[in-house]
Amino acid sequence: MCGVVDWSYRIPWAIAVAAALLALWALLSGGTGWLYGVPAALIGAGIGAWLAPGSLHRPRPFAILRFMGLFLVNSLRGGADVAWRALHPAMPMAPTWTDYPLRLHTPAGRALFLVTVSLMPGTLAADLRNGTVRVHVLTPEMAAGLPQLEQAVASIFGDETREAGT
Amino acid sequence: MTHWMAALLITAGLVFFLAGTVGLLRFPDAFTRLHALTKADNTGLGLLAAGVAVLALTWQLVLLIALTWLLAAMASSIACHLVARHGLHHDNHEETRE
Repeated sequence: MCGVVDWSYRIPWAIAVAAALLALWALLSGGTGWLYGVPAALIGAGIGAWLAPGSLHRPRPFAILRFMGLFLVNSLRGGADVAWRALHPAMPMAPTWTDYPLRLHTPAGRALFLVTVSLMPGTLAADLRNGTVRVHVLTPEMAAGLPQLEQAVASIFGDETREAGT
Repeated sequence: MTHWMAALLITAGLVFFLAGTVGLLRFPDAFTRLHALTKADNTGLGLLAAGVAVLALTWQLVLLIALTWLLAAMASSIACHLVARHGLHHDNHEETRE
């Protein structure tokens, strides 16, 4: 339908998808059966190039490491917090809803934020509408951790353009 | 030494699973129960996976265990989001809004 195909951003997608699939194959098969793994990775690369949703994000290892650190620490804190509340005889909590206006605008960044929010201490992402996340919180002050998480996600995807005011 | 470390991590993980189940039974409504299940199980599985990874003999196995935890955490978080969204729109919980 479209006349000229712009390959400049499709090639990186193909390479990234192929590399990820080959690594996954090596991991799952223990380095055997490349007769199946390589063609499958090549087909995946073709599909990646075909679907390529916009240009590939430049990888930012430090941002990813920082995010992983934050995720691990908050996973532990989140689990410990809710476990403590569940086992406490009085079950201390004051659940309520809060609206969090999202500053992230890349789809990948928003998806990562939504997936992560529900694993962080006391917060649960229930809906995203018009750039606002409806968050269920176990206690009202739990929402205070969200900007830090959003910032960590933003720096992975180079999504800081709208963070300038903060 | 590594066995004790693994035992400690696995036991801690099981405590989280137990606490998550207690929360599922005790918490007052669907949303708070989702908190308990999703977060406690994510932490529990993470500790369990770390304990098993300590015992693993090859790096391939460690990476596979990490991948398992990652996929399970993602799946449970997405499931949690979908259940919560359904509950938000269909169960007339509007009176809890402020």
